[in-house]
Amino acid sequence: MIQYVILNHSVGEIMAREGISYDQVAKVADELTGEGQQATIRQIRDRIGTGSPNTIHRHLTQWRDARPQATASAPELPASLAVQIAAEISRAAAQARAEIEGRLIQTQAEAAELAATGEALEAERDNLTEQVTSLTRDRDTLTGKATQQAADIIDQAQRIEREQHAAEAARIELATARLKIEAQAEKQNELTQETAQLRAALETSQQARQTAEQQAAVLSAKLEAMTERATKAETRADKAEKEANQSGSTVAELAAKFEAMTDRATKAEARADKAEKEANQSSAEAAELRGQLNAAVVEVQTPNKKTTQRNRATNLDDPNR
Amino acid sequence: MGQDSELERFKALNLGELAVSYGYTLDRRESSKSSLVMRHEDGDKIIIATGEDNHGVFFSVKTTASGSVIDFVIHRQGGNLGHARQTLRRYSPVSFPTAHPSQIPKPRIITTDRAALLVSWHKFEACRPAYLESRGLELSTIAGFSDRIRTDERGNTLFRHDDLFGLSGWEIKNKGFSGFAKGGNKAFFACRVGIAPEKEINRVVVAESAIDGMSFYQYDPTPALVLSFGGGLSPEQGELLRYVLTKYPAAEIVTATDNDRQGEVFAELIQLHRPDAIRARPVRGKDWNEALALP
Repeated sequence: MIQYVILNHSVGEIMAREGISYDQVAKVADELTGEGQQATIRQIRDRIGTGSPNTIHRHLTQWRDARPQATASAPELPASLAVQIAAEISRAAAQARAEIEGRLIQTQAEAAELAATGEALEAERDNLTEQVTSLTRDRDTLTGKATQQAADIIDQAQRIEREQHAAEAARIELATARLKIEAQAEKQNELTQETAQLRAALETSQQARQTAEQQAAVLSAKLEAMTERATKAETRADKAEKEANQSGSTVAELAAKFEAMTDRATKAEARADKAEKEANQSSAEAAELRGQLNAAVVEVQTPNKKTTQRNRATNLDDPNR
Repeated sequence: MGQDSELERFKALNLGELAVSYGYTLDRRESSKSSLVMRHEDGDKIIIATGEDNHGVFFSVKTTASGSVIDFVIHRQGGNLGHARQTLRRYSPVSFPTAHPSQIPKPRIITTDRAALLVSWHKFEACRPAYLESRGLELSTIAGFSDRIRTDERGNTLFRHDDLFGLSGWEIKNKGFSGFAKGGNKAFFACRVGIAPEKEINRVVVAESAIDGMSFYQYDPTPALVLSFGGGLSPEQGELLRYVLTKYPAAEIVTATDNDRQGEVFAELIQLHRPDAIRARPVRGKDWNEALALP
């Protein structure tokens, strides 16, 4: 906020004093004299209400000079005595008047000089007063300006501080916004990667589905074929079942025959086992006998022993024997 | 004047002021005493530093362009060395057609290694929040620290470390992984959060890790300078801690180290430098980040 200082000056204080006129002083002096009072500087100043004592004195002196002197009446005495006394008085008065007039003239001259000096001093005082008033006004104006400038400086400093705070807040806000964008970009990037992964997975899945569909088609065809075969088999089974139902006794007979045959086969197998055992036993016995026989032959046919033995052995080893 | 001496004079020009005359503006928040970050409305972003030979050097973040003031002129307007000379003669000796050239300070001299770190850092992507969100941090919290955090090409989250000379390296974090920049040195992850540039710091929060510091700020979002030293405290980091704690004598110091024996040791160390430090111990969990995850 800018503060202003308004200074009030009294116009009367600033303007130069105009002074009182001779006529004013003379008029009041006449009035006072008419009232039987002494016309003094103070009395006149009191009546007028203003005025420099020096100026009043100057005008009063002028008024007094212009005023006719009052003449004294002669006393009723014998003429000769009166003449002598009058002469003596006149002489003494003349002497006294001369002294007094001389002193009066001197005093008046001094008073006039003092009045002139006083007036000059008053003029100088008025001039100085005016200067003081002007300087005071200038000072007050400058003080007002200084106060205003100080207020402006405080205001500017506060504004700068506010601006700095606002700038700092804006910097933080801007940085936050940038970070949000950055975070969004990162999330976007992650989403893009995730989308790409999902797309790849989807593609793989689609390929797998396609393969599965193909396999399913093959299996379906196989199933269809199997179903057809099963249907045919069922048909055949149904037919067989019907035939079986129709020839239930034949089956029973066949079953009995089969059981009999099985029994016979079991028995034959048992016999075969027995025969095999007997054959094995016979073989062992035969081998033993061949051994004994070979030993006997060696003893009988000593010459051509080796050859004979080899031939015999060959013959004995012949499995066709 | 010989050509070599003229080139030397060109190289001594304030590159930041020259960049302003080409329409670049200073990014005060990203700049430091040892590097200027300047942006052009056409999207170009450059880093300006002062090499060990006291000459200005620039690095373009979005291209591979880099070099001296002459290379910068060629980078902006094309042409060859001759054209660049003609242009730079117009600035002779140090006058620039800018309103307030002195507002662009010349960066302090840095080593080549630091310049390389600086370029790498600025070439990383801006912070991506996914990892930090997974640690329970909200976007509004991350935003307050985001100009000190970046993301590398592997998606790791990087926390910038600075010492008194500027960027010194960065912590690397990811799920089940922690590390530090190769060729860098641990200093402090330091972030003015909620405080406008040039404003006074009234609160300093010290945590063990960047994520703990951010977690504490999420609990108590009072504007502060949030510091963390990334685990252990080396002698250099200890000295830096003392410097920071005593640099802001009127600031409130909050010790937000872990709720374990080591955390108490760090708190005692901080109290040595600043007896008025306040201990902020997580009520639940072993540290301030774990406290976020607990119900």
